[in-house]
Amino acid sequence: MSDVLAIRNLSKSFGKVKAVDNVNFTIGDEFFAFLGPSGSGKTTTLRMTAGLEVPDSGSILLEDEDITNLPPEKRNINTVFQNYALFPHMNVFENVAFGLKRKKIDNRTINKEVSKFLEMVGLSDKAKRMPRQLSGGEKQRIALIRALINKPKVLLLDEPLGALDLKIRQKLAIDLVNIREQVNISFVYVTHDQTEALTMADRIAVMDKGRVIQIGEPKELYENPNSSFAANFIGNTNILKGTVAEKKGDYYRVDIPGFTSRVWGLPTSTCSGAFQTGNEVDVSIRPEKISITKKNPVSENQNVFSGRVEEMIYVGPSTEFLVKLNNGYMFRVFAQNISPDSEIWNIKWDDDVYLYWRFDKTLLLSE
Amino acid sequence: MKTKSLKTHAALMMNIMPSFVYLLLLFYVPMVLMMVISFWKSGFMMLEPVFTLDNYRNFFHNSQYLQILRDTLVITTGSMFMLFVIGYPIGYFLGRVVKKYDSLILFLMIVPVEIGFLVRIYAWKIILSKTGIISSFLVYIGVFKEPARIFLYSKAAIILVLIHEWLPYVVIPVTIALKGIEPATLEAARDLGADRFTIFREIIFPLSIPGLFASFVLIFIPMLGEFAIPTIVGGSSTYMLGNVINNQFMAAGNWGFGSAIGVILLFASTLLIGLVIKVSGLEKLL
Amino acid sequence: MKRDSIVKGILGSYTAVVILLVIYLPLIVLIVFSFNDSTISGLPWKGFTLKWYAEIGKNDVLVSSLINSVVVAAVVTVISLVVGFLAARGMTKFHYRLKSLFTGYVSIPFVMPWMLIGVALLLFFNLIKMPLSLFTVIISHISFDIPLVAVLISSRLSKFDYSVEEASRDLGSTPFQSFFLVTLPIIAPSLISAGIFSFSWSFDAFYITHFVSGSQVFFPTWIWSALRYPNKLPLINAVSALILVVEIIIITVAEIIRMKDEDASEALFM
Repeated sequence: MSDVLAIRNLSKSFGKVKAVDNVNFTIGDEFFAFLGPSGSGKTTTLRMTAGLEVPDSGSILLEDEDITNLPPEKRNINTVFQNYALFPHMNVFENVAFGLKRKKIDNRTINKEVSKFLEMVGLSDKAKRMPRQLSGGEKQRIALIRALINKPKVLLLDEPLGALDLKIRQKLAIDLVNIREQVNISFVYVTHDQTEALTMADRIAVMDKGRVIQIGEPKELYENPNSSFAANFIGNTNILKGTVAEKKGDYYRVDIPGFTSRVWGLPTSTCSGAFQTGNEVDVSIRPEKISITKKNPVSENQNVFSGRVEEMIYVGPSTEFLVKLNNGYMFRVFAQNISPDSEIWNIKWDDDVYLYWRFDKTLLLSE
Repeated sequence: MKTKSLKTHAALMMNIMPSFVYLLLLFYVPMVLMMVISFWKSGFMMLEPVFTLDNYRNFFHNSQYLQILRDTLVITTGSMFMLFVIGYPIGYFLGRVVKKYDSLILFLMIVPVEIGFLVRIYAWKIILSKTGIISSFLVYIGVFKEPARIFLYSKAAIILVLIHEWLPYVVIPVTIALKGIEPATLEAARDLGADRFTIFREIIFPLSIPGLFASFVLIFIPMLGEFAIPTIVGGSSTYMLGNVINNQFMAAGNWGFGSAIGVILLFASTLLIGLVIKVSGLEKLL
Repeated sequence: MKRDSIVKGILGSYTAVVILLVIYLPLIVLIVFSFNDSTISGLPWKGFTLKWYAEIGKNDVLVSSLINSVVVAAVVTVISLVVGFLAARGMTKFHYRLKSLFTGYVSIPFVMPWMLIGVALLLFFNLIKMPLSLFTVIISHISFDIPLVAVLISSRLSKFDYSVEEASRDLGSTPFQSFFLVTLPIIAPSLISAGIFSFSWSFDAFYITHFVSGSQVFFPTWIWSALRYPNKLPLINAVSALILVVEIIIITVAEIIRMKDEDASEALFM
């Protein structure tokens, strides 16, 4: 997989705020997502890639050619804007044809191309409509093909589904992935919605405070986050703070202040071998990896804690428990409602319970 | 449910009835009356409710009046065109270039033209006269051998004063229209390969057309009914229909004929506005 | 970046020059020549004098025309504000089938040539045999001022959340109380600026006044007739300069209020 887009040491400040701080990544022929909270610098990174912001330092390479100082109209990169930014005074056809017209392509080819792309998104009958006569989902698809029709090397998408209803969002997410496979263009997708990123992207870059925290495939990010931020931002997790006390094989023992139970865990692959005795670490346990029971489980290779059920939320396929551990930590546990004779049906509010999970599902993260 | 809707109905009536009745009696009835009287038999200080087309015939069969109609249209469309040419760059400056002080500059433009209508026309007469500052200045720097009037008593002088009177009403709508353009719209155009000039031609200018139209409606119809400006700076020849109407009502006493010219004026302005909507492709945006 | 600042410089200077020459030049000339010791408002300069200002008070017709115009403007403004405000509510608050028709009905006089309104009213008063007087001037001005006020205020009200009135009713106030305690304070700036607007319009409304004033003299019609007498021209300079200054002060206040309530200024033009 050769690099289509490479970003090197990119930085940008607005006044005193470092919006983007030394960002590096490369993108091949893939669906790449930037995931982060608002203000994390993902949109600024995207806008610098598009040429709409000028970086303070660093460079942007498109197929090994330095485009850092090229204006947006000269870059072979197109953008789907957050609120679509359709031209309000042009109809759907004129909107989609805008980019090709700039390239001085003859009208017959333009007509053919526009019809082809309108058909691809199933909006052939809307060619003469004005943007304000379209639904949100339709506007979104027009914005998408208006950019795609120019056959850019990279398509940038800035929260393109943000303004839509959940149902349409889910449908368009699938469409986007399918369309990408048809047109074979690298997509860079900015979102603050982890579900979108996880379901659509081949790889995700998690951003926070202008920095890239971690880049990886969705499964890797979920199972092996490299920091509490990444663990918390992608999915839910329970975090315990402690100190490394002992190493045995691949496993480390972490002492948690106020706990008598010992916690054994594995460093995430991204931090392997990094820990010394005495290091402060975060211990992360995903709620669905934890089992809950009323009987004391005696089991090998399991961490066991005891606590009291504070809250039970029945959500159909699963039940969510909030369990207060003996030292006051609140733990979240997801239990699947699989079989009618499962033990969890007997658990009630204020019951004393045991929580246990496997050592190898206990992730140790550097702070 | 029934009583509630009756109550709402009463509240609605209380809000709309006063203006409805007032404008009916003191605007619509008089306007209709003017149209009706334009078909009455009329002469000097004489008005008879007998249907006739003479008033219109007199107008359209008189080359002098037709010339004045042409002059009126030349002056008003010429002023309108000049207003757009002069005002658009200012609107562009205030709407797209300056970030600060734009409302202060707009304010400075509005204040003087909201007051002293007649007096400001007269001030232009002072400026353009033989002893005025322009003439004196040109003599002083040696361009003129002796003092002379500058454009005074001509169509050009009328157009100049009309520009003075209506300039803010071009600048403000253009400024508002240009300010309303979403930055993302322009970014999208650049992103799709448009250079500065293309962005202006394809995006900015088309999106400011509603502003231009608003100023056209606001300015053009009142301009058609102008008679003080041509009277003061237009000299002794009659240039505008407003003067003819004024003359028929205040001196010649032929009210039926005056009414007919008023109706012609209204008809011409309605026609022009319709034409402009068609030509500018505005219905797409409305 | 550099090109932007060049464009900015060119457009900025252009704007300054146009505003100065096209809009301000006549005002400056007027004020300057009101101090010139000559009946001819032109160069060469004949010396500084205040005598034209002293003459204002001595001219009884002028003084009574000023008083007439102030009285008319005040009465017109009060009535137009009430009726125009109600019309603006009718244009924004309720849902009924003919709403846009009503909006058009109220707005049309706003884009009508003033002289035609004056002429039509002259015909009307003549037909119903109503003698021309201060009264006919007042009711004629109101015909234009109601639409002016309605257009200005409706734009503010179109962004006004009427549910605050309902909330106030829900909390136990009568419709009158909710209007005076809730609605009025919120829209007061628009009302004040619309009021000042309609006052200065009425004070300066030559075209309508000209046709319906009969033998009564008002300020704009006094100027109109005085323009024909060369010996009165310096007096016109002086009184206009004076009124300009007063009106600039009033309108500055109005504009400051209006800028705090920006919707109204957009209303005039969109």
